[in-house]
Amino acid sequence: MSKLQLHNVTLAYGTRVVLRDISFDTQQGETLGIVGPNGCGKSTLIKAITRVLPPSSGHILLDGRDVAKMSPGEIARLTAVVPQTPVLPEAFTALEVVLMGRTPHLGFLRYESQRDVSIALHAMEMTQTSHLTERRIGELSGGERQRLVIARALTQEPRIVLLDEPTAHLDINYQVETLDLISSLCAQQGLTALIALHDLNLAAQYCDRIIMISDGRIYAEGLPREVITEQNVRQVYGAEVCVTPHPVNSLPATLITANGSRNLAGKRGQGK
Amino acid sequence: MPILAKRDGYPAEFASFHLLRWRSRVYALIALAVLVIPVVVLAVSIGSTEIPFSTTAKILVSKLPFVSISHTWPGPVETAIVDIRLPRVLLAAMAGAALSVAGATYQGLFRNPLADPYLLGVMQGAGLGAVVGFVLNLGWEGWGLGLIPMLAFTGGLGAAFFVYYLGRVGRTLPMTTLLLAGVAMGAFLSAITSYLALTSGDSLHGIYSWLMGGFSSPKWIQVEVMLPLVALGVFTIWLYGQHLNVMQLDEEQAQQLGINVERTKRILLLAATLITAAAVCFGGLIAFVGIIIPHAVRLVWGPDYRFLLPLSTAAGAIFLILADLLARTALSPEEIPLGIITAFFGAPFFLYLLRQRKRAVF
Repeated sequence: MSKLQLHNVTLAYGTRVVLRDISFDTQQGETLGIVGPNGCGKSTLIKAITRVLPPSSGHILLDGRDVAKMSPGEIARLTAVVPQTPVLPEAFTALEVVLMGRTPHLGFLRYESQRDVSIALHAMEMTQTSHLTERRIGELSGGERQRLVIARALTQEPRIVLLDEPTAHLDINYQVETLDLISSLCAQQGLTALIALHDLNLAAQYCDRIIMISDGRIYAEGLPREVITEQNVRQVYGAEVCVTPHPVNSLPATLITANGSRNLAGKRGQGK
Repeated sequence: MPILAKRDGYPAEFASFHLLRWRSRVYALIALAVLVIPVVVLAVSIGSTEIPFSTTAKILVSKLPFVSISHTWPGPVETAIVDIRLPRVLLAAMAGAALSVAGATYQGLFRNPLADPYLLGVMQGAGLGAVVGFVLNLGWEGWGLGLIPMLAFTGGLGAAFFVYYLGRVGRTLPMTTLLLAGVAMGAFLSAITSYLALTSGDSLHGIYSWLMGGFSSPKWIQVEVMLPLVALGVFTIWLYGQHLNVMQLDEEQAQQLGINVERTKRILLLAATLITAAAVCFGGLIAFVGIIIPHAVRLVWGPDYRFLLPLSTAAGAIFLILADLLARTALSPEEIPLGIITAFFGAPFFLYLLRQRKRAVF
């Protein structure tokens, strides 16, 4: 049982309200996508779920318990976060950072057992980072660090994983591999994933359900083909796109068109 | 439901490699801890009158409970060792341990390699307290501990708590505001201290000596008071090794990994302030130990705080015992202030270590 419920949650930084009256539930094993323009509150939502930012009103329930009444340790044993651009200490090795994911499960002596190390190594294997184990963070690229942070989240053995733009710095092959991995964990092991994405195509391909946020409220909620429509994208993002069924799986594929003045063969500059 | 349950165990060698490093660090820790004892005995043997190492060892062992050795040494030798040198060496050991652990803690909390135990006003507050003591020149001996140490301790803690009060934002203790408050407070208290010292007349030399650090008038009662304070603070901080590791990420990630960040900060700041004040009130302002020892330990044994903290404790104790030994014997019978020794020898040693191990270790 790993259920996340938000009831009428309002989130604000001081007096600036970011999200207003948000309510939704997650289902076990589902991949829920959160989309919306930059600054719409995707990261803020994740902070609220992990009690980093307390809601100004409303309740967030994790397995029926109010998150505000849970300790950070209890929350960390259930949920793991993959932050967008995390600060990582330069001097620790990749394995040591991934092993930090075991922190909420460590006993009093707070040292990792063989099993903890195995879990971490397994997570690194799944994120294609095994070859980086003894390398220092300072030497690694942005994409490698991002995959390590994903490995760390998996090492926490969470029931719910919250990912904030997990593919932002990744090459296209790693984007697909990472999301394939999350997808399969959801399907096979009942992991629930909440992914904040700004890439509508990735959202459509990988999410069972999508919530589109606009102006601090839920604008649309439902299956990808219901939410990702030309009308919605125009309203929420102010962009003209072409949404067409993907040739392989018929999920909505969002296509952009460059402005007319440059791509017509033989015509230069005039746009006529 | 564990999501990574499938794979039963990784190849044994791989998992063991990580654990092997654990083993080597534990051995190093045991070795360093054990090394403290002969260093203490050595430091106690050496002094203005030369006493053989074996005699010192016998005298010290005879002081242990349940041990009886026939006394084959002259009375004054025992007095020199037990009443004069031993308390001094123990004070130096505890101060070295305390400052090193506090320094490591501050470096971890501020995530800054330049952090030292004196960032948050303890040094300046203690300095002011001590100078006030010199200037007032009251006869009161402060319950045998000494008026100057008592005032220094009060001043140090008082300044630190005022800084925490100033730097607090709601129920949180943001490290940046703490730092700003500490710097401001430090400057303010230093100004007052300097003025008082300048106008103190005869006391100026005494003040200056105190400010540069040293254990020139050690007493057993000081050891008895300092030991529980330092032990409590240091052991508490040891328990938070993993917390400090995780806090090297940012505070948000640390919380998301299960650390109660505000509570951890409060406890660590309290413990580190306490042991710093204890070290400074009896030893004066011994600079440099709090920065250098943690870095040296990090260079050799890595940044994992679960080992860094106990290793720094032992290394700091040994370092300051030896520095104090040098302070009182190098230009005998003159005593060189301890702070000068620590800077003079600590800096080149650290540069040597840095050259040997040129990897980024912060």
